[in-house]
Amino acid sequence: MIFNVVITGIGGQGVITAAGLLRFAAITAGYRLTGADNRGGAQRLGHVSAVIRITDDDCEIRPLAPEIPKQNCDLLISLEASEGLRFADLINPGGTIVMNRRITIPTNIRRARLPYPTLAQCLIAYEALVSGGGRTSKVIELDADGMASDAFRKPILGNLIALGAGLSRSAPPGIVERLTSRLSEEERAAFDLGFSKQGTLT
Amino acid sequence: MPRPEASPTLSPFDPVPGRRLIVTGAGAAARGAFEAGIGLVTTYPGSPITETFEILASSENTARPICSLSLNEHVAFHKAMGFSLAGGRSLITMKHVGFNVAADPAHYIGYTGVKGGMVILVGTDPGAQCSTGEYDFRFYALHTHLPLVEPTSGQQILDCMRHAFEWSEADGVPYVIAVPAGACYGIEGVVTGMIEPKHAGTSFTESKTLTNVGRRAVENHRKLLERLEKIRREAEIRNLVQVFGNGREALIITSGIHLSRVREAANILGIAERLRIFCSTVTHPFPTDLLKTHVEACSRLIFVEDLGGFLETVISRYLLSLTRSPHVQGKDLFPAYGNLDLDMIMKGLANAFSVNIRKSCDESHTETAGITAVPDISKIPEIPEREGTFCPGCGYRGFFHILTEFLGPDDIMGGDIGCSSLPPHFSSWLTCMNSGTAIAAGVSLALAGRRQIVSMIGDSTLLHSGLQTLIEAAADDSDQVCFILYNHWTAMTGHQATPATPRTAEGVSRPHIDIKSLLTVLGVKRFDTIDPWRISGLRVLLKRVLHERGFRVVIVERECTLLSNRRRPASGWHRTYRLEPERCHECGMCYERLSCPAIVKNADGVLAIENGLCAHCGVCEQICPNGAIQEIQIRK
Ligand code: SF4
Ligand code: SF4
Repeated sequence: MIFNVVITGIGGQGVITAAGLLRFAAITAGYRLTGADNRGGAQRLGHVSAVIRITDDDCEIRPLAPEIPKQNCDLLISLEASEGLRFADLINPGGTIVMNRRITIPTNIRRARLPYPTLAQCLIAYEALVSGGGRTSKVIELDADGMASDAFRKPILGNLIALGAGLSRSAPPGIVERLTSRLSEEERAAFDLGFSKQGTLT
Repeated sequence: MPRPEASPTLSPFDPVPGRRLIVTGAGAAARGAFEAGIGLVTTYPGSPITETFEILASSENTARPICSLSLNEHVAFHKAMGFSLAGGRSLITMKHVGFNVAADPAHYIGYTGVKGGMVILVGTDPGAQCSTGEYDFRFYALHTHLPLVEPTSGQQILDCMRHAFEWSEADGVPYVIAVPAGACYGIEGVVTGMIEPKHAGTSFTESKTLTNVGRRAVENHRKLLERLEKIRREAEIRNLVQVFGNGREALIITSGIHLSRVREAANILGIAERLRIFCSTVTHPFPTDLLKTHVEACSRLIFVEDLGGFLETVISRYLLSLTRSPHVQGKDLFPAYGNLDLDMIMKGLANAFSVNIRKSCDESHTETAGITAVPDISKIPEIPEREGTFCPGCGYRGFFHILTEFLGPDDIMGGDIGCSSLPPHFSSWLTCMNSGTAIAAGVSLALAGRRQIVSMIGDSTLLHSGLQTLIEAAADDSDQVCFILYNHWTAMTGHQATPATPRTAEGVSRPHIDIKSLLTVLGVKRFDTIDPWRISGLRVLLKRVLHERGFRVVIVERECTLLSNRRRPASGWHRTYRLEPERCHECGMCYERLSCPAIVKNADGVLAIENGLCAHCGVCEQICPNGAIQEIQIRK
């Protein structure tokens, strides 16, 4: 079993925190782990992403590269709606995508007065990626920041809401239990909110 | 579900061996050095390897090494060397371009040898994701004659780091460990080992070899080459060669982090049975003796490596000595530029083995039965690059906004490394540390009087390698305005202090070099200081200095906002700014030209200031031509 995850967004959205929780849970549950963080934009509202590859295989026998092979990403969580599209070629057509309803137009696009994809365009693109073979789409669209603001007055908890929503659809056995057991009460409530609601299923 | 084993940990200093430490590659290196009981670590910060030093320096453990943040890599190198000559274990960390700065001592340390174990940890950057420039660092091994280690995983980074100090002591030379950015930022659960007591140094022994001149230098050279031959033979004993598979169609030679990529690619492409993989962790001196039987068994050789093709170059020479030279492929399959990732390795190998890559990929997601149509990703909109930019409140945003108002299209701006070089990249060039003022000095010799020439130098760069440049520029009266961008920290790499940092991160004043006094001593006659948040003052000053001639210095001083903001009380009254939509003429001055990320456009196209992001610098208020932005007080 290999479970490949990408969590992405922009600096300040808690991408690395969410990735860290998932990694810790995976190791606690006895899985092996590879992947990498791209934290380059963390401080400067730039692109941030985390690749998390979880396996129960022996990595000595079946090692995993730090990158996900094309069409093999099982769960993509895009905390900024457009960022996840950078990983379009990695998406497993049977995978799950969580799209947070938020777009931040990069300053270079503003300066150059260029167009930028809208929320609606992003959603259409994500749906095209995971509706292979005419099965029901597996895009979870939600306003995680808004939900976190309403419920906890802390938009930053949007990362846990999105993570909960994503893992509700598919996760290797044991991971969700290990993950939630380490959360504070409030974080747990945020995770559960996403896990149970799953936003709007499109 | 797998059986949980030893409990995981997040602390690189966890005393318990056998735990799974979840850590980056750079962090695994820190753990390895800690386990080896190093007495000193020196560095000049540089991505992707900064974290190794940062982690070691963050330890409150009494076993923590002396952590020395040096002015530059050359100084750091000598310090680590001296510590080792006195019997202690020392580590120096730097990025590949930093090694250029330390290249002089690196070229004689093999000759003189070392005593206490010494490791040179170099973060390389194929793809130049965080550097000015990429090059195949490994070729340095050929002329420094230092042994080179390329760990294949996070676990091997830890293990090699721990053992390299012993190897260095046994062989009498420092070991170089090269870790590419992809591995520095890679994250795994690595197994911790025992922590050795600290090797803090014993004694200094006089030795003739340390005077590396004339005939002694030649004698040292001869002995070094002998030592390297011994190290070449030890690769087998030290268990540093991994061979996988016994196919006969091709022998793949690879190294470092590419090993896991090659193995996964071979599995996905279904060619694992057809080939064998040879991977030595020590790539210089390369254990060519161990290669022989494999080369003879296979009909061709494929080198999988990035950039210049170090292995292909070195091993091809050995192949010439064989009676039958196999067919060699390498740089014809994989580019000699950029970062080589899994996807490119898949493509190269698919090509070499005539496999249909698309079909292999489709079959690779076995858990998705029922998928009949693979989406056409050519219809997915291309997402333009999201460039990083100055943080909200960064002094450089207002500074460049106003400076570019004053400069014409023909004027020339020399750029330096660091935050001032962030997009939108205002400068005319950006090559390496201290490239701003130094290159401008040459340009001004050629064009003096015909062009307005300004240059940038960061405070950290000034102390790294800029002092000599400033002395010369002042002596020559170089015709340029040199802006010293003084934000108090080496901010780009995560706020390391410099000797000119006036306050600690907590805001306590500390002894520091006063830049103005320093300039006087260097012979600079004309200099001014300006706070870049004061737009009118900045305009007045620029108007004046840009009309003068000769060497002029302006210290642009404002502490990095990321740090000063951390000291703001979490609650209470805060100054912030509000954008009044009724007064806004949508001229674009703040949202587009200034482009502060805290100014956002909501769904109806109306501009607003996002309170959570605004760093209350007030620059937007000062540049708005319509008075639409106003200071307000809010309670948090
Ligand atoms: S500078 Fe002033 S008028 Fe121009 S867009 Fe900004 S707020 Fe509106
Ligand atoms: S919104 Fe205005 S005051 Fe706030 S950080 Fe940006 S430029 Fe400074």
